Amino acid sequence: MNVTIHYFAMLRERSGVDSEIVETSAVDARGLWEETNHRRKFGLDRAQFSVAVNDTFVEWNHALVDGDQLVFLPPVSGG
Amino acid sequence: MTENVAFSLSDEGLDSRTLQGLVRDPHCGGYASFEGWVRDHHEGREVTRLEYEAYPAMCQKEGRRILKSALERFGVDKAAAVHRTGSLAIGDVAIWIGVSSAHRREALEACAWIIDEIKSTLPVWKKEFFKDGTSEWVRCDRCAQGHGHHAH
Repeated sequence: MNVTIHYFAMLRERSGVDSEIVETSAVDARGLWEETNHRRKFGLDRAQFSVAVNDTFVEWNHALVDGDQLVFLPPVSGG
Repeated sequence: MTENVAFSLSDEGLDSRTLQGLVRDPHCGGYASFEGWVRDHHEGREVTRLEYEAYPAMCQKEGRRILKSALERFGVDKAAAVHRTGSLAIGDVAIWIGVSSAHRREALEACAWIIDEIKSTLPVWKKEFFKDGTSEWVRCDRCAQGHGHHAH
């Protein structure tokens, strides 16, 4: 299946792209994080991040379906 | 029914006098506001400017959720917030929050609660540029661990 990953802030700079479409066999958000963290050599600790699918915060065991839009969110620092 | 919450992102300077209009209501005698300003230091380092980057779709959802729950929790009449994006100079308004209510106490409490919620959940990221030419995304481990109140 194909999913789109959107990057913001630190992850956008590290990846060098705003978004990318990736083909994945990951079954859930956690699997896609592990795959992406490895492929892009982020070397980051998942515990620092949260994840959103289709603009909604979800748990890491959220099952992925074809066409999903994912965002891995770094710790927020607004306000 | 009139919308009682308003959340937005802005890439232009914020003027609190104008923004007050978002929560003005003849029924309300109390207005509380909060402005966050860009400060020139962070953990002992001199800051020269900031950049804020937002995840717009989720900011809208999350911003409205926070404002709506403030209305329910505190029984206030109107609540609004605007967060800056883009490049900001020292002293610029980074965020404006306004709450109006029949009486003052609820408005003050709701306003304080809203800024705490926004700081802990709104998907906005701050990059600080330092006097020595370096820059970094503010990485708040305490936020990630959910330890709550602390200075950024």
